Amino acid sequence: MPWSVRQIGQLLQLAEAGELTADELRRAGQHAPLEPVRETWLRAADRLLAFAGVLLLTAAVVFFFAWNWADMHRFVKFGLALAALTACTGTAIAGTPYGTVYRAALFGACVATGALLALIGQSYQTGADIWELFLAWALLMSPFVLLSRSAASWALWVVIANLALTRMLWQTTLFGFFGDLFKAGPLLLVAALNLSVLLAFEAFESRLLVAPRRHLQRLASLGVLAPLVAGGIVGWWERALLPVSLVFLVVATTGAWVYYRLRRDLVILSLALFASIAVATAALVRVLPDSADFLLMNLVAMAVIVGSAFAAAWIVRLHRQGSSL
Amino acid sequence: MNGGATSTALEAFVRLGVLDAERAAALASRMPAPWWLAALQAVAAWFASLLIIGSFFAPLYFLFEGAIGRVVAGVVLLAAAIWLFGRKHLFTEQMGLAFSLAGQALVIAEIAGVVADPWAAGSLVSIAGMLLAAGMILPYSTPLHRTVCALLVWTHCGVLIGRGSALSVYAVALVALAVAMWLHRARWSTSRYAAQTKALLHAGTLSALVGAWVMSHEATRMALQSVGAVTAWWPTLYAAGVSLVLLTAVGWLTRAAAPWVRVWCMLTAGLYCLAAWNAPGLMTSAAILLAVFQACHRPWIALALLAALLYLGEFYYSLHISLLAKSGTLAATGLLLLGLRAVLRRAA
Repeated sequence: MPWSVRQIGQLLQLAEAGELTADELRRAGQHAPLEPVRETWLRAADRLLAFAGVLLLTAAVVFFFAWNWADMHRFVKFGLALAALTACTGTAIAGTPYGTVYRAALFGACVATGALLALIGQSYQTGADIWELFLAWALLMSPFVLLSRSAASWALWVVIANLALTRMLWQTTLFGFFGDLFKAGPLLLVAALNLSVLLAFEAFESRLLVAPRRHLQRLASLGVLAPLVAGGIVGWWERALLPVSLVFLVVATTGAWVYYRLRRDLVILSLALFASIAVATAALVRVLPDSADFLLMNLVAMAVIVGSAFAAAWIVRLHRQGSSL
Repeated sequence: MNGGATSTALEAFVRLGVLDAERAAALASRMPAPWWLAALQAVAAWFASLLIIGSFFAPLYFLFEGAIGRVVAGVVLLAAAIWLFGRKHLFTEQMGLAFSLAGQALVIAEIAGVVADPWAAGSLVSIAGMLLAAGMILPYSTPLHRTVCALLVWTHCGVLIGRGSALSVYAVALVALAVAMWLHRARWSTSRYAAQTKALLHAGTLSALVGAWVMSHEATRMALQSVGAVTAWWPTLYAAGVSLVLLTAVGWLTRAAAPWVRVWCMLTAGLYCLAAWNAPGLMTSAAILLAVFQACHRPWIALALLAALLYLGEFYYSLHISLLAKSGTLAATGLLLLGLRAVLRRAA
């Protein structure tokens, strides 16, 4: 039986770190080649070529409509956009449910939906803000995303939904009380959106994805922590952002506990820890006297080094515990 | 990501007689930090080093009148960093990383200050920075520190080359070097200098992918153009160079295959190069992706794909060809990839 890609990577990594001798590596190579075998190449190529091919083709459709060919009647353009969408959905219907072609075709349908919406906006000069395009895109692609159960489609959905929300908060007049993005309300809303995605994937991952691998949870946790950290840091100086600091405290503590005790995920745990170090460092800078002298700056630097070193040491220990035989 | 996968791999090594159980247990207790943790540590160390540099500047200006004294202070920081790495503890290693970055920045900042001519200062800084960073790769330190230093080596080298077609050749050379080293990973992984080679390779791969992105980034191109760093030949030279790298990589990977398979693969790669000629970043990503897959480095497989996606985003805004031509480029490459998949399925 050949080595898997993960196992070969592991062997070579150990060798590079000086932990595996040349003789041990040679013995591993005698058992099976230390490179992917033909079947591994074909399996990877099958998935990659399907998704990359569909992505490039649908991107070509987007680029084509962005060119805005003046001589081409808008109905022809609509016909082309609908043809792309139909081709994607038709291929998915013809493909094996949840197979590579099926998922790649529905991913293509997600991108083609955006192209069609952009074309409508371009042709009729709807005057819609960009966030409305992103919101409509996120909503209309949702059925394809749910049907595909593909991580790529879900990742696209998360990005588009975040773009819709942040752009809305940035420029809308309807929600004028937010003013601009960097206020407590908008930051908490962005975090809330990503938190709901995180919770949904924690609860229903096996139903939402064909091959659950926790990538979406990590992406969503980044979306939760990024606005809270930004607000949490500035919150030590701006009273208006103090609620964000408090929410950060609750979310980071709960998150660290959940991903340490209940559902061990070292990536999310590390994000929570390092985010906490960033906010704690800001707090330290805030409480220290307002002068940039040698001692104080080195004190803050040492705090960062000590905090990050302890956090890293703990995470590495947990990582190694998982590796122990 | 919780170490479970590593555990399975080590168990397999024991089962298949590559390692005995005792040795595998020892290895499990010495597993290096995962890459995502190293990235977070790097950000923390970078911030700490900024504070250290900031704190050292003012007192050094009071203590020493000339630049020599401040350079000596930077060298002392570097020596302290080497000593700290030698303690082999996570805390001292993190501190060593911050001290090393601060020391290097202090030395090259002082060197830049003593030369009046900005061009001469630039070259001197690049040479000094390159030598310092290369020197810091050699003694024992963490993979993260070595990779950061290697990244500085490649960056200073690019700055030193500076302008014109040579920069394009350098960008291609980085892609070629990265691809060649990944393809031969199993050969150098047990060498005496494997740790240093690995650091240079990781930094070189990152630089190669960033280089392809920079080639397309309109603002960067215009900035480089304004100082005469971009020539008319730049895009052609780069596209031709990375095509050659991709074709060579495909040729090498199929060296043991039947002649007709080899010819067919080379032909497909050639067609891909033609289709993606206006989007050379797609060729760079493809060449690196093939090489890192052969080397079985999973994080770099993901990063090469991510680089292709980011390149696509940047490609939209580049002004070197019209959107219609770009659309044609993408449609041709997309169709080619889907056609290749169909043929591969039939052949399998």
